[in-house]
Amino acid sequence: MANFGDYHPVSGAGWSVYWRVSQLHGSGLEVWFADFRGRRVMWRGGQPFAIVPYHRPIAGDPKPPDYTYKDGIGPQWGGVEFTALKKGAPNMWASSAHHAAVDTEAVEVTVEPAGNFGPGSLTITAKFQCG
Amino acid sequence: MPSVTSAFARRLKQVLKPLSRSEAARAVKAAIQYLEPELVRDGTSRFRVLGAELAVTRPKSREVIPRRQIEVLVIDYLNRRHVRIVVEGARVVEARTLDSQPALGREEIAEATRLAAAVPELRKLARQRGVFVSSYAPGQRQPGQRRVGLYYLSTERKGRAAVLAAVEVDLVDQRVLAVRLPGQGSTTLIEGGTHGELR
Repeated sequence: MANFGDYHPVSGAGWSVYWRVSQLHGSGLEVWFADFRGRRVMWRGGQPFAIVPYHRPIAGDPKPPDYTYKDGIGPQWGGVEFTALKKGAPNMWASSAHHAAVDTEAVEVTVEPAGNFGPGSLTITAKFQCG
Repeated sequence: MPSVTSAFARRLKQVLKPLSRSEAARAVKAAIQYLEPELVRDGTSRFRVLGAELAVTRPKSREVIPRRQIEVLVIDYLNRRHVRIVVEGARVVEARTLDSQPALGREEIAEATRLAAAVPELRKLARQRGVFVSSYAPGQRQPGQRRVGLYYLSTERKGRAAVLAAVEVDLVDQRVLAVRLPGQGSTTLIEGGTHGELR
């Protein structure tokens, strides 16, 4: 079994999905084969990059003319790749001590049953940092 | 309680089972054997395998189960190209030069750090306590290029990280292109290097 890149099945609240983080650096959280009540509703989903425009560049950063960083997959203009962090990592530019050693350290799955005031939910959360 | 998993997803289990080390090693070997004639130029080659992972391609029909394939990414520095090889069993079924830049490998960042250590100020900085290195993408990376930007960072008491220095390294030509050192506002080019923009 690899540290990253495996497909992990989870289910709850009527959903059945696989999640995957393909690598420590340079990937993101992917959701595959999402079934709701036994019916396929999504093949694959993810948010592999982020475009970060600066309306007030700081001392020329990011550079003109776009004043924008592209972070995540295929980073450009000074952008950085995403790094999977341990679930409890602090909100800071974390050193390697906070990097997830395996994909399951980065991802948290919670299932909430339906209540009187709302539907049930299956939530898949992961923490990444730029850099 | 009825199952929430579709019959299709249940049939996927065999396709999606974790990649074993031997399976990955076999795929890498097949990919290298396939590429070998192209990797060698004037009797030398310089390439790096970034890794092997399961590749699932969406079939044209909803009813068809995807095949279990393994994707191997090869950075061919000598020929300035990045190649995606797809292996099924022991057979190469796809070989394609990528237009995009694959994520930097850990070994590549380590090599860039070693090359950056040729700058005495950076070598000294890297030895300081609490200093660590984090990579970034300098400028607009074109296909075939392999440039690595490195920040030298220090963690401050409040948990914020301060950028102490930055360097841009070209892994194709194996040299430092530009550097920004502590107390130095602007970027210094090394031996006429052309660089993107140090962040």
